[in-house]
Amino acid sequence: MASTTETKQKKMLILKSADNDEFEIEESVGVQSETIKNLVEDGFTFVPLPNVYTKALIKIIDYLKKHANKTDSNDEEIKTFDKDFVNTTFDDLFELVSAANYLHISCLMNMLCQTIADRIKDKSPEAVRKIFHINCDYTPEEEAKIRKANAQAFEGQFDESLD
Amino acid sequence: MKQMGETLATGSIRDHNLIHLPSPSSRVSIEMEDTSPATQNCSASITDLDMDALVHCASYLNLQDLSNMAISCKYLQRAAYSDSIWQSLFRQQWSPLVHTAFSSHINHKAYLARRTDLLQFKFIDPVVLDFPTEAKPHEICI
Repeated sequence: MASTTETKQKKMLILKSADNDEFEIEESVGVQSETIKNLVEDGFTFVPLPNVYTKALIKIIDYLKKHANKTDSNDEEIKTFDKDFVNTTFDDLFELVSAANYLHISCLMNMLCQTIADRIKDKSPEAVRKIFHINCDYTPEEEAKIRKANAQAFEGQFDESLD
Repeated sequence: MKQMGETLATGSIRDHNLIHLPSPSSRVSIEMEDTSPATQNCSASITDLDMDALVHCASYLNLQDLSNMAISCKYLQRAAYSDSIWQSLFRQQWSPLVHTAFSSHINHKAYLARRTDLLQFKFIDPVVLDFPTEAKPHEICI
């Protein structure tokens, strides 16, 4: 809970989500996002984020705060935090990816994309479809063609499980 | 502040003359459950992801996984076949042997064609002919 004097000492930024909620964060926390950093360098302290919804923004601010205080001693703590952070539904993951992409937070982007990639890894095309609820939009002919083109990928056995 | 709102959030400027700064403690408390019907109805799908982000995800995958991703649907195929992925796979696999500038012409087809050629020991590519003689071909290509 920052008092007024503290607020004056530390440079603060206001982020406004797409659903018009405003969040006050320290500038040092915010500038981990390249998008915010560029605006701060241009002298802005009020940052509207028309592409980022409140739900994702709350999580992202948590992430930025945690990572702003990174020291050698809390390395483990941050690792645990990160692990919990990505342990969420696909809906949340996708929303976070869009937000992190827009905000240009590269470490978060890497972590989220790796998480999604891990769900595709070693899975058969059928399993990938089921895991991500994708409707196959190939015609049978197209599918046969692309399977043939990718035939060299079918050397091993794939994991058909959905976890 | 006003100028900023106008430049970046033209759609949501209605209340920015009335901005009151919430103190950190009174930070907007929104329930984590999403209550807006719009987002509830259309739950996010991997095919809603931005192509750049999807390509970023695909960049963590190997040849087999990329092929499986491409077969699953058309949108994922676009990401899996993106040139940047094949260029980086190409560099990972053959960069010590091939000039970097060469890899900028690589795409999905060219990568697979080259791989097939090498697996069949068809050393017809002039660049491949430049393999250092002491290298064992089976180690290089596979």
